Amino acid sequence: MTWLAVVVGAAVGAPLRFLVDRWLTERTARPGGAGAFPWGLLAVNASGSALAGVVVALATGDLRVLLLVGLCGAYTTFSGYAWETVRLWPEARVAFWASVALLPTACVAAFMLAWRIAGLAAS
Amino acid sequence: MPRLLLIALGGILGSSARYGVALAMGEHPVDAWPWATFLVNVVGALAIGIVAIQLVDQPALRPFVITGILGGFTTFSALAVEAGSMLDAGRPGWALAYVAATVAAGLLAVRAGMAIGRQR
Repeated sequence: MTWLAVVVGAAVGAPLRFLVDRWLTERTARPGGAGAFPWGLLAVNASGSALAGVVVALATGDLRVLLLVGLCGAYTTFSGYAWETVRLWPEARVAFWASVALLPTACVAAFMLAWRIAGLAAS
Repeated sequence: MPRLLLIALGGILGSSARYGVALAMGEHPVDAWPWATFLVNVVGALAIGIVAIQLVDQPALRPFVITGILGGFTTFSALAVEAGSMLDAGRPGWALAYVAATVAAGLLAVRAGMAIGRQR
């Protein structure tokens, strides 16, 4: 029952995303509320991508599905990222372009770095 | 129901749907365009635009639908894994095109979803 592995991972990943995102968003809020770079989503998406790198290097079978598809998949979010980024335009253009260009770059870099380090540690 | 439990339930539903799409579209070779992830992310972005507008007056439903279902349905880690694998395979152009296309289509999908959400 590989699907159960997805269920178990997602049951942990989605609430964890909410808690980490809210914790960081509350601490980086700007006066008035709007126009802040989505630090919370950068944190969850980059840390989730890094965890995915470790999983890709080390885990196989149902454990890999649980951690990669379930946990990392539910912990990270693209819809929330796209929504928060759209809301920055046009009032906060610098934050908008940073979210468009730097946030995905940081996530891919976090994955590559973790994948390489975990791969070296395993070999 | 407690908010975290609603988010967990929504996350299970959304993630199961994402896994179903991946299974239905089958394994893809490392040098092929990752259509399954691209599809769930753009569809999820369209949906969040519609739902965020429609649920403005129903804050109680937002954790379940937006944070849970749509957050679980879409993923950034798979995007990073696929783009990173393209880089690793010596295809930086593909990786850049894949990430740029997902982000551009995702942002346009949110705007389109907001326009649809406002119409009804």
